[in-house]
Amino acid sequence: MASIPASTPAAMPALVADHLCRRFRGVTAVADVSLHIAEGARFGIIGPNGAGKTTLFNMLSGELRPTSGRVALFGRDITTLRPYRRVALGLGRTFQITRVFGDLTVLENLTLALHGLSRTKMSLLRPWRSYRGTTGEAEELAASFGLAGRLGTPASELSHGEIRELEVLLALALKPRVLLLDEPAAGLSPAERVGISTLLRSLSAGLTLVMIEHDIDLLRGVVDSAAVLHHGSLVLEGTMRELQRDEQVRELYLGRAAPGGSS
Amino acid sequence: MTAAGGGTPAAASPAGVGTPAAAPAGRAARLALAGLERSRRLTGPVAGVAAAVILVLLLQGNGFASTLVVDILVYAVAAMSLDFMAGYAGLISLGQAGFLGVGAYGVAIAENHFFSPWAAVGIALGAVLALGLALGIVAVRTKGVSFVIITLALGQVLYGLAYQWTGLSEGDNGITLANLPSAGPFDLNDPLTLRMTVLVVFAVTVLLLLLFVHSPFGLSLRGVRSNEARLAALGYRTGLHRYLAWVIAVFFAGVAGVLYIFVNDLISPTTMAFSADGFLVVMVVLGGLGSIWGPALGAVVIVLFQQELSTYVTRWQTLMGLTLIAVVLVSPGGFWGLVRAAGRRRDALIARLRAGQPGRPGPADGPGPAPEGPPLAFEAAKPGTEPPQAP
Amino acid sequence: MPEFIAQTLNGLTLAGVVFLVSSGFTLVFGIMRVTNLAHGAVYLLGGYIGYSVIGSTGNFFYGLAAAALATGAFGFLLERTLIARLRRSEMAELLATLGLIYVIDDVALAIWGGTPLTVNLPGVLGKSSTLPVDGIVYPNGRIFVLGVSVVVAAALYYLLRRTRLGAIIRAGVDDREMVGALGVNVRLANTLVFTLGALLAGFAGVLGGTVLGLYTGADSDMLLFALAVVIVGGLGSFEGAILGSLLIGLVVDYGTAYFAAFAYSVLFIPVIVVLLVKPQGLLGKQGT
Repeated sequence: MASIPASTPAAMPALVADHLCRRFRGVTAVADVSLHIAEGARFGIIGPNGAGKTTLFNMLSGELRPTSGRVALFGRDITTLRPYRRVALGLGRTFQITRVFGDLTVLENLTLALHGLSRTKMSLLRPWRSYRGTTGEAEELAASFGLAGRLGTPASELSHGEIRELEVLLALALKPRVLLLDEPAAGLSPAERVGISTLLRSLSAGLTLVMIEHDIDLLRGVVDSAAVLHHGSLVLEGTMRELQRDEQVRELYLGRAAPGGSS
Repeated sequence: MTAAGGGTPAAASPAGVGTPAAAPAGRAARLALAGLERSRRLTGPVAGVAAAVILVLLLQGNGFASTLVVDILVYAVAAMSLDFMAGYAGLISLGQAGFLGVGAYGVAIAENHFFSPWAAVGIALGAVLALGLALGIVAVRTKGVSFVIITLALGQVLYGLAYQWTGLSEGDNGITLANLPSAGPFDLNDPLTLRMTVLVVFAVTVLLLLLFVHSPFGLSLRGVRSNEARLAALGYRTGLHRYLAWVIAVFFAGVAGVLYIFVNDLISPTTMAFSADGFLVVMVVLGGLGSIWGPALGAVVIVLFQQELSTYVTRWQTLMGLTLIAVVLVSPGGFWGLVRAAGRRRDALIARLRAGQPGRPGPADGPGPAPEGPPLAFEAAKPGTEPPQAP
Repeated sequence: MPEFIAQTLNGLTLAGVVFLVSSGFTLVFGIMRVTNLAHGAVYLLGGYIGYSVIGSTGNFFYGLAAAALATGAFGFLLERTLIARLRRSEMAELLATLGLIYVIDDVALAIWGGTPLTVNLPGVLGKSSTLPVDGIVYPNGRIFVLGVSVVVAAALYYLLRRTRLGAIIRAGVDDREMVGALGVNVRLANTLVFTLGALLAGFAGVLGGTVLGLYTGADSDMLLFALAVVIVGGLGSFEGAILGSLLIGLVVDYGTAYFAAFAYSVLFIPVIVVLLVKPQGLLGKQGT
């Protein structure tokens, strides 16, 4: 796991975490984590609660400043950029505790997201419904992931699974090149997990996905390789198959598998 | 939405084709449906036309009815502008009367310094704008309860200036306005012209605010109120949006101030006292936070309380305070919230009746003609387990 | 120089009264996140009640006690009925207290009328004495008010730092949910703190009635001061209330004395400076 900064454009990784550290008043939440995630990769971040996964994400997406270390997006240093600037550069994110706009309908939620990167969001004198291109796109986005019938429903009235889907859609509306997903399946019933899993698997191949998850089945279906975090440090990194076979990892994070079972 | 069979479990058909036992069919239902749909289409326009006619009629006369209506219109402009900030961006300001005062005093002080009436209006509005731009920088650094507190302080400081900077404001006595603007045949010194002008300004304000509210910017304000952090994550510079909302709201309060002094000929510090700030907030809450029409209705109620009820009930302020408490407890959406709830019930009834009608094509169950959004409340609805946002 | 010292003492006296009012306000906010806009009105109500009791009994200290008990009881009732119903929404609570201002003010107007009143101090407190500094003659009453404020501040400090209730309050200011999770009877703590706040306000009203007077609008004035104090000192911070009161009291007093036209506006300056530099208040916590 040497952290060699990418030098050749052909090998330019989509997202690089370079010796990221975060300390809070004496507690080290993240200690020297380095990652190189290639474009188009499907990467997972796993580990027990309190391992520092969300803190790591917060540093990647800009909610938190690292105590030391750097973050680079397609070769560009974004360590000091605020979240909305990173969004403009192609970094999207969903949150563990869903943050959709509860008062607004699904259509309004998506419209808001779609206007996010254009100057039209400051437009004062035209009704937003008259921007047919944007509202059309919002409807398509909802339709392609099964929320077409819920366009007029306030987000606070959606089911748990639908809210999670909306959460992902909001991030997708910004046309990210790298998408960070923080426990997209948390709190979902098994049926709802299928929905999320389908959604994630149907995402375009060019999109780089980095996902924090506990659900091993979901991970297996979506992610190719993963990093294991424990007490803020990166303990192990490899393909899902390798990780599942690793004794330590199996014991601590994935639960004991029956001998000969796995993959 | 309830399905065709809606209602009690007992209504479920045991077998075979589900005759919608609970959804009334037949001629009665068809008539009811037609009636309801017609009412849904027409209530808006009919109410609007009726209100316009009533207003014009009332303003014709020279009696106390027209004075009352004009007062209501002036306060309605201030209240609606407050709602733009409070109901859409979540910025409840307890200092709005301060800016109304700046607008009014601006005209008076400018005329005292020998500016022509038209120039005085320009100066007043310019002063309000400048003050709004400057103070906004400080005000929008805070949110929620802190914002309320800051704006209260700001409003009180403006009041203090009006009271104590006697050199400029003539303190407690206030300033009487000598001349209203005129341009050829258009003379605001003529009472009828003035009243009509107030009506026109009111109408233009409503139009502009409605336009702003339905624009992408307006949508962004609702996003700010709903979940500002998420909006920021979507690439919005939320501080800027709040700032702009503040400036717009404060500006229209200044406009109301200019109208105020034209109508009343006198401006004194009392107009900016804390109770005035409170009145505006009460108008907005009573009428309905987050609807442009609601505060106008609130203005009707409060001005009536103040000017009519006060002659019969000396303790009308107690009554007003109790009404506010009651609204907060029982119907946070205010009067407009009740209207919307009724509208939603009508929509549901229409949907049920439609479902009972065979072969009737209805529009998709989309946003529909009712205004968007769930019932109005003071804070955003929070799906899931969102920790409370710090003020 | 003697004038300046006298002026400073005036400022400190004002600071004392303002502290009594704002400490209650900030503690209630700290533990309950309730912004009680009616706090100023309770102050005035207490002053009026004290005035009446003093008038009928002839005893200043009866008046002081009666006012404090009356407003404390009022606060208790308020917390149990209105506030408890509105726990779900901070804004709703704030708006309800706004309505309360109108009710209290109007009732007070009905009972005591609109003419300004002054609370009279008994005996030696009503006189002036010569201070050892520069031979200044200064009203004893003001020194008394200042002294009482300091004593109460010390008592509150002891309460917060040395008693169980105080520990609960401080913990509640830091992390409300945790306090509940620790098995503390949060409801009881809330009621106690709210009652204490109201009691302090009423108590302050009588004291303020001696040096500042009781008049329509005194509640808005005092509310403004208290709000300025919590903005500057930090919402929820007791030490911030002390610091803020000193600052605001002195600034307002100097302002009124030396810049009559801008007396209130002067308190604006520390408020703006703090908002620009440290929006959560000088001693406030991040995220309040």
